[in-house]
Amino acid sequence: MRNLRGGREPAGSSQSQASPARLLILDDEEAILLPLAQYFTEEGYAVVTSREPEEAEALLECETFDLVILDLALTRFGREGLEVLSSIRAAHPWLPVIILSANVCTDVEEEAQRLGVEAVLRKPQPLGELARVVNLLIGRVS
Amino acid sequence: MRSAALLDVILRPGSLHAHFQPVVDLAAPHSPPCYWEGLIRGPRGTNVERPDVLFGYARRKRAEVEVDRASLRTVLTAARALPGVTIGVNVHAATLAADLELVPFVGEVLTETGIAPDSVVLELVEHGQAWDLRALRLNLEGLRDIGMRLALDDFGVGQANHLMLLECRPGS
Repeated sequence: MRNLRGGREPAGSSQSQASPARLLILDDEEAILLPLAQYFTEEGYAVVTSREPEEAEALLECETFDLVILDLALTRFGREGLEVLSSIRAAHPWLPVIILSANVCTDVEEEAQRLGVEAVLRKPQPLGELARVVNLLIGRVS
Repeated sequence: MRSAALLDVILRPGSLHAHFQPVVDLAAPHSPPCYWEGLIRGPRGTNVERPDVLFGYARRKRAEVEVDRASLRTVLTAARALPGVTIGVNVHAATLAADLELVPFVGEVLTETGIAPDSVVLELVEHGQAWDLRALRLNLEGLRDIGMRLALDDFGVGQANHLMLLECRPGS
């Protein structure tokens, strides 16, 4: 794990309600999305997955989420992950975002930090460690 | 397993589906509905089944015209099961301001479905205001010329504005 910052209290967090916390996972690879969705669903989260940035942005506009897990390599859909991060930050400044990506170089990591990402994790990442960070950021005791 | 881009899935024939709700005159609550509004839903089981997410996605993909056309065809095709009633169908103002072939497309769908133009109320939905007013006016006139009626959907909500009221002249 790298660059974990202090967790914020997410606006509209579902932690105070009976319903499970909601995660939005954006990655253009189905092979990544499926195991992540299964793991976090078994961990008690409500998980929504998306392969396209525009789909994720539309979901964020219309629904409430507690945390976003974002891949940076979204070039299949003509978008850069940092641009998507910037867009999410502008529209949802208090929503915790974790970057989960392969080949994160120092420049990208610094730019992600400047944009206010909560954590940058490299793929492959043990799911238990990812879950620990997620739990920490949304205030759930792990 | 999802493999195709979501927009391709949305635009696949039969992917969208329509529900109908009655539009009533509150001053005459016991009268029959003024018309039945066709409400579009995205592909079942996807994130874009909800119409707000569907059109939010379409807007971001700059595909409002394609999705509006597919929605219009879906609603009017489904409306064949409701003979003898007037049907309302939503179209975004952005589509009217961008799709210079909209009127012939609507005429083609009406011919395909056998629905008379004067049995259709086209409801304009507004989102944002970066419109080409000339194209918007041409389309509104064209739709009136083929006999369709026009209405404003959710007027007074969100970014709805009085300019549209003047341009659309609903019910005229």
